[in-house]
Amino acid sequence: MELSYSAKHNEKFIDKFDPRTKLTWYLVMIYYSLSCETALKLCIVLLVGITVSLVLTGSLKQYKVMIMTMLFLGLQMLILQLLFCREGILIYQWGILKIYSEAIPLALTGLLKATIIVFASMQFFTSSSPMDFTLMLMKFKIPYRFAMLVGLSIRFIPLMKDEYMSIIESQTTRGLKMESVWDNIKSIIPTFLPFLYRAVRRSTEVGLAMELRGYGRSKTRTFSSDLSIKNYDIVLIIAMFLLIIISFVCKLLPLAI
Amino acid sequence: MIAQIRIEKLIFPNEEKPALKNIDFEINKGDFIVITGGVASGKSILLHSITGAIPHYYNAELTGRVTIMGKDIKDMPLNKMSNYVGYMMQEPQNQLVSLNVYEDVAFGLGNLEIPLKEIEQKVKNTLEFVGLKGYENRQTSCLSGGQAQRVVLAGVLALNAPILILDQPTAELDPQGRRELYMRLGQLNKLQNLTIVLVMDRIEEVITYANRVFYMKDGEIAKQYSPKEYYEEKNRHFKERLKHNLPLNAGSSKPKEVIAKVSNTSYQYKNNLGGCEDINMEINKGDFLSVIGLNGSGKSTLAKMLIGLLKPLSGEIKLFGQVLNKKNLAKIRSRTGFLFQNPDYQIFANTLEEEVGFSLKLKGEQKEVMDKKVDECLKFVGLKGYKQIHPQRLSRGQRQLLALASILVSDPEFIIADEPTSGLDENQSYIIMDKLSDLSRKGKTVLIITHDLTMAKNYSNRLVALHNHHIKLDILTRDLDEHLDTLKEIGLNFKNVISFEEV
Repeated sequence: MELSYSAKHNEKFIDKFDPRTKLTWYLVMIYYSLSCETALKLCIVLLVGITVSLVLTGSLKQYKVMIMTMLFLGLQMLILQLLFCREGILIYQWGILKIYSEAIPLALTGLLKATIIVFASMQFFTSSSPMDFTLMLMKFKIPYRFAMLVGLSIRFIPLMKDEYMSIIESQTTRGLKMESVWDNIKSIIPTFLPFLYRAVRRSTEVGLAMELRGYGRSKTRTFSSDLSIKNYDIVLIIAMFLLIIISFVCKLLPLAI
Repeated sequence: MIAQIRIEKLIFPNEEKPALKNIDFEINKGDFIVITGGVASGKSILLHSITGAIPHYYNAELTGRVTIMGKDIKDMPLNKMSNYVGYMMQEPQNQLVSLNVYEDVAFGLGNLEIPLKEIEQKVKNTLEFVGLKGYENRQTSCLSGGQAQRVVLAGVLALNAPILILDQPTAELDPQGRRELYMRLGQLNKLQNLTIVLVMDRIEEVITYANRVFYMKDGEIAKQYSPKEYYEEKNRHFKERLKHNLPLNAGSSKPKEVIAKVSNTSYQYKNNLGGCEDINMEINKGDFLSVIGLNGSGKSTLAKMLIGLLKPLSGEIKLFGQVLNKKNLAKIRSRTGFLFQNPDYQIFANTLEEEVGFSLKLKGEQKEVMDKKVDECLKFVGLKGYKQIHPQRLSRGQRQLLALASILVSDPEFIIADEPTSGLDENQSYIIMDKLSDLSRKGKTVLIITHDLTMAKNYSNRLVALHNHHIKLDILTRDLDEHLDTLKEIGLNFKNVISFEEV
């Protein structure tokens, strides 16, 4: 949210790029996370991504939660691979528990691929304002009625979060316990249903308010800003597509020969 | 002259018990109409019919004819209604569709394909008119209730529609905010000849700007008044109430058995947003205490600290002789009831019976006892007849009553209510306040947070006024006259409030 806001005010180097350039970079990262097969190559891709982020935004603070989440996910992947991987040679056996030599490399590459995808997604979605996304989608010929929904959904996230907290407060004052995991599971219905009812009521009212202010009355509308792609954006986009094509061809060529 | 709004023989929906029936009226250019009436009397549905939301948005058949400036609304697409009508609904946060104030006010203008230069000028002028000059870059999620309301109004006004329709526009505003908004509406009506139709449960403050009052009951316009006639009838009701209900706590001072003690307590929200600072107060058993103050003065923070939802950063709170901490929290809460301002934050069950019985079920109460208590509470709030229906089918006011019943069913010794009369009409508000007053007389302690100065004056034995997160005054209501100027200075003008005693 903060990043989106700062993006609107052109405070960082990354904000000088067109969202289409950022989207192409996102595709490059996804392509390499899927095509690289060794941990070393994936580490290099991740490192490049992190360096780019650091250079363009000057901080990696926004990835703190992601790192914790990925470590937790990595631990789960490792446990699953240790339990169920049957590739490589058997290195340890205790009863029915068998650990094979490929378990750790597979967990590591899986984790690195997932990290690159999550990292690149965060990099892309936090680097542009919702208005930029809307304008970008419109450049891809998506009608503004749908393109504007991106900004709309972002607008209501903090409101919905606050509301869910208020619902929890309300139910706890009525005696609902939310102290343990089991309590939290039991409290899903009394906390989630009011949230759902509110969301339905809100979406109805938002839709009505928008239509009554003329939303969708014509095929186009006036926006307060527009996207104009710069020459350096065009060069970067072409370079990134060339990189993907060359890499793809190199991968295919040995097969063709 | 063509009436701006004409409704003929309106019935909706065409069922045995319609929500609207026999509606026939005309509204002319420059009229300022106030529509009031009881809970679920059909006020909001009537506005939906005028704006075209019915039948275009809510697919249902509308019998009769509704015309806006001579055109039948059935033939007008909803997204072209902005040429004729600006509609402001009840909850402002549900009508703010953009991330910042500028984009939100410009939203409708952009849809009309107005050139950008013109949009910029219109946004600037409209924001200045609603008193929000310089707010263009503010994020809409960070606005207070009053500011959000004004941004929505600006977005609607920017479209320059000749008719303005407002549904409970001041429901979340403090007295000062209400006064300011009504004044602006009065200006628009007088200076720009804008036709205004406004629905409100409590209309004392807006009525001076209106030229007609419609009173709705059971889906019909039961009576039309001039503002003067309405005042006279209201005063008659006041006198009748006095004959039957000699209240109240206003003149009494209660015996001093302290049930809550707040000592040197402060709370501050993240990002340095104010909460409460250095609060010291004692609440006595049987007190009927009203906490008053403008929006953002710290009233809700104080109430949340009293129930343990917010932990004070400094100081100590004692309830029933025990320090409010994690260890005692469950025990203290079992003796306390907290009514939130928005009933929708707690309603989840499939029937009213299930909803009210929820806290008893959590306590493991026996079914027979539960049924008896649930029946008593639903009867108490006048919802017994709806026992088996889904709570989401109730109106906003009825849901407020349901939430109150859900709190009272646990028989709490200390009741804290955040705006208990919000969303209720005048009669319903008095019923609730009478009940709370009864409970107070029976030894229960009641603390209400309210913007309704009339209720605060007529029902409380004590008033605590908060200003800028501090307690400015803590007085007995009988001494109110000595403090009127101080209260006026902090935006709480009691001078125009009618009391039972005066009547």
